Amino acid sequence: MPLVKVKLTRWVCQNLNLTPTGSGEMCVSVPDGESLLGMVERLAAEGGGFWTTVLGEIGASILVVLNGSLVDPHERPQALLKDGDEVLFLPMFDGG
Amino acid sequence: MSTRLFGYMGRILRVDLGTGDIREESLEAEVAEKYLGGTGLGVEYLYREVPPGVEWDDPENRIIMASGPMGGTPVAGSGTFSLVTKGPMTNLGVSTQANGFWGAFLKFAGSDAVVIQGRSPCWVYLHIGDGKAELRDATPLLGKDTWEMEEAIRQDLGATGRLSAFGIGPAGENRVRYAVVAGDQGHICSKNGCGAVMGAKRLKAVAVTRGQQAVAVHDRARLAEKARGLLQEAIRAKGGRLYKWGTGGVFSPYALSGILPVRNYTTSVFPEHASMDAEYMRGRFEHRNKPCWACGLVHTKYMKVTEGPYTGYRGEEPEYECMAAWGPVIGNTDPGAVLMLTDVTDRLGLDVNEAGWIIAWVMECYEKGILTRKDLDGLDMHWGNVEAARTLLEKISRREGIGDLLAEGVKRAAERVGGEAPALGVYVLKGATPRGHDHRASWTELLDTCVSATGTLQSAARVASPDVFGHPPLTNPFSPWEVAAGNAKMEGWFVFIDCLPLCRFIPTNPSLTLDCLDAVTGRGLTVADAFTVGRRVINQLRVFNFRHGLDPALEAPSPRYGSTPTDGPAKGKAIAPYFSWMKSFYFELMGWDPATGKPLPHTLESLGLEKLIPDLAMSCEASRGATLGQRVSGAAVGG
Repeated sequence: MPLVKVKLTRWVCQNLNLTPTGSGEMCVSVPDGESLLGMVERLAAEGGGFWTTVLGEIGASILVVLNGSLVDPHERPQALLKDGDEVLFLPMFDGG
Repeated sequence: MSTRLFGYMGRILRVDLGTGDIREESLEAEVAEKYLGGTGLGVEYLYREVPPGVEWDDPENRIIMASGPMGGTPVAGSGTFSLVTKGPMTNLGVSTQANGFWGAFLKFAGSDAVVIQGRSPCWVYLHIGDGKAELRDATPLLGKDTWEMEEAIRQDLGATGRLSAFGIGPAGENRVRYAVVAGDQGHICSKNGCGAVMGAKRLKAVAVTRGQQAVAVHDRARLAEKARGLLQEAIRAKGGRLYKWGTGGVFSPYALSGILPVRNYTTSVFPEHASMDAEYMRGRFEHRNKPCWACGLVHTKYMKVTEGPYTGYRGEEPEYECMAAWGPVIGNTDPGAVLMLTDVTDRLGLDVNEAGWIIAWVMECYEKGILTRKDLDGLDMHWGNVEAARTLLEKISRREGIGDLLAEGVKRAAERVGGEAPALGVYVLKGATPRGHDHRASWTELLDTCVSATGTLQSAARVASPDVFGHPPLTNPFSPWEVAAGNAKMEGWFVFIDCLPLCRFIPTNPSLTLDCLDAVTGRGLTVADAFTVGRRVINQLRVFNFRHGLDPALEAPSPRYGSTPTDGPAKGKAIAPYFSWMKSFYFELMGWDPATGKPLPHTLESLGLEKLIPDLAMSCEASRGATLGQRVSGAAVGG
């Protein structure tokens, strides 16, 4: 199965008051043809509260960057993952 | 005002620099009711007293520096004040805020605001003490930077107590178009060249000695409780980011989401971000707290560089926009140099945003051979040359050599150089540059920057967290519809905050903010009332700007500012095809004519601004023949 590197940045954790899991970086095995949104839904179903919170915010306060490019919300169900992909979750930051 | 209102001192100080006359006027109860204070009070006075035809450097222009009902209370960040004037970057009205102590001290000295008019025959500074004010000779202060100025005033007054002085550095004295008014060691009214206006009036500074007068408060016990709660909310907001890391806490996240501006928008990739962000600086450089009035958020620090070529350099911790301007925008990767250039900019009295963009524009022009070493007085302006940048900033502040051209700002300098140069500049066609972001990845702020009447963040739809008002959050930052609608929905809140005025980092909880205001004034404003006050001020300033020649076609990004990123996280996100539609839709939702952007009569009526309707109608006629000195050759993006 393809392996995808998932980075849930500390800034997302701070914004959502979540305790980061491990280093905040993990490798996830995904079935062939799984979409970006599908992966998060599966992690939420398997992993409980942490990913459920992320899933809930993914359409609101979280940006998703796939291999260095922002993925629009409407593209997330269609964005299919492949081996070596890197997914980064960022808060929709403001201010400064 | 016969009966003193809670939250107000009831007095406006009017200073005529031309005659030297200083007198007190009563604060009108109706003005306090409709506009509260701060930006609202300033806009009302600007509108009344600066008619069309008065230019930014005319003695008849006004500078209004105003506190408001919250000023000097125990509410965190209530030392903030608003400065309202007509500024030289756009030759239109502006409201700009600085934090620190000045606003609180003005109240303790017995006034709610200062209205400054005329031009002094010689350089002076204004000192406001407990119940008295005087103009003093500022000749010995000339040439002093903004930090030296504060100390020199203290010595001149023989001051031993608390003093807050806001004034201009060499840049303001020489009327650099983006000169600022700075004080309290690094707090800055930065927008639209308000420092140049002060320079044109030969006014070096306005200093306030903390007086003994108390702000009358409706319910002191309730205020103490609510103010504590509000501060705690501000400290906890967004996971405590601002409390822990200051505004620089967004530096790395911005780099990863394409909002960090890099090399004058020629790229959106900055892999060095983690070795110069706020966590890096606070983790390595020595620092200590630099608080504002009544504020435990303490989002800024004094800092000393402890590594690299600028080891030992001391100054104020760079805030996010300083980090952006003197880091990625000019291609520098040394955080110590960022602190050095931040300190130089603040001391000279220059707006860090315009200054950063103009140095970056020069660097790109130099790289492309549009500007040569000879054009640049022998300076080698390659990307990241921080010492050359320092020299150029000093020349700009003195309008010396090439600095005279660059003192005009990006738009005007680029137009004078001509050829390809204007196409490389990052600016709004109205005349000023944006804040230190790559707004091509932050469309809310790009639209806000272009249409703002205040000259800077006005809607702040992303900053203000629309969800706390029950609005749906922005789900797609690149949706033209969502962005325009979101901005229009949020218009009013931040300008309301500027009318209190409070530091914008404090009121993260609207309910507690209004509880505090109610405890101070006893007026019981609702969230809807707050938005109405803010929208009233936005509309009035917009009508002022139309009367003074605002051309809505210039409420648009320059070609580079509105371009499409060619790399980085927002690669390919193109705002240009949508911009005109977004602007029209936003105008419509604001109750303005979708084509002209002019507030419609029923909109003005609904805000209690009927008196402006005839003025706006007259300005429509006048503007047809007006020349503004702000017309721009070349088409606006999406225009």
